[in-house]
Amino acid sequence: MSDKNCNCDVISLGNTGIPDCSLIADVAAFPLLDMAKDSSGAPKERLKTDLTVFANLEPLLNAASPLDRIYPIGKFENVEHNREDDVFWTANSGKQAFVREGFKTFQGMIINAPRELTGKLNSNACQSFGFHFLDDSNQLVTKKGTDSTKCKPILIDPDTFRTKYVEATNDAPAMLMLSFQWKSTEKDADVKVVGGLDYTGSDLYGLIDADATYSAITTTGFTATITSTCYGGAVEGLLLGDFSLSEVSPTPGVESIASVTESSAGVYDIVLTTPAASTEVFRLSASKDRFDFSEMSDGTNDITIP
Amino acid sequence: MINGIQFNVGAVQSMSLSRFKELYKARFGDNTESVYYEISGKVKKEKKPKNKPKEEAPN
Repeated sequence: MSDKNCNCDVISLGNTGIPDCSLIADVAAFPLLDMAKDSSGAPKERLKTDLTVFANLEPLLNAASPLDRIYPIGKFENVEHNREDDVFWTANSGKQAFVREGFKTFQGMIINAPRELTGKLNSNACQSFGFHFLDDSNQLVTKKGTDSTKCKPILIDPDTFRTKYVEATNDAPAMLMLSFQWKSTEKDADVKVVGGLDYTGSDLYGLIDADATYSAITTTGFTATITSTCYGGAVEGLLLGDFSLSEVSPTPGVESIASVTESSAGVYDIVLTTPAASTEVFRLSASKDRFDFSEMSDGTNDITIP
Repeated sequence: MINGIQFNVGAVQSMSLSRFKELYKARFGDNTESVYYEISGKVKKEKKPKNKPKEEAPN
């Protein structure tokens, strides 16, 4: 990237006045990952208030479409977020000429993060995405949008997005270290700081993937054991309204559930309203904040009535 | 929720008592019928005692 950034339309220098009061970004604390494009395929642009008002943000944390979702990744410590030195070419005379801007790198650590998160984050490396972040002064730092009410993710160079797990020592806890570079096209001048958030970083959460295994399948119902696919814990406390059942074959359509009983942690006995016929195939779906049940209804483990 | 079971009220309302008993008799035993009426909101029809034929007054 060259970034000569020369405005040839004007013949004067840029004015250098600054307002009496402007928001200055503090140390990055809570990165929020965001896909570069939305579910319609358009470059991502969000209303600023979607990220500053928790009532607007929480539906985005739980968005059904992964492309529309916001992915918080915890509280970072020891953050270094600097741009490398610019690159200059030096002539034999000693005169230097600007060649390109240095790359900007984020590096930080999450203390006591589960090691499974390493795999989750590293799998992002083939995506096109960016980030916003909350700083230590609880301000949102994001990229300017097409007008003052909008913002965009600061794009990340996915080739550089990498986490590694740092084992605990006698002197330090286990940590997850994340580092990445901004995309070379992203400019510091395009970043803006937004204050007035009505939540803090500790209110943020990412989703946990969950899937089900089925047993005791009869014409009157079945048992679904629902666990976190990555961490293995039981997904407890689902309510009847959190489930939906559909018949996949032979007659696709909605299937009515008569009752749900959580017989033990994460184990749900599901009774059908009308008796099923042998060889009918059903697909269970669920929806609840903080969980992503898409693996449950991806068609890989449907329920076939014996 | 009754005895840990979350019922779909609409589904129970569309269900016959015999079907409900078939599904939940093992869980509720002798109380199955009263649970059905409680959830469905239906009113149990009391069997009317057979009317005795009125004795005709002697002419």
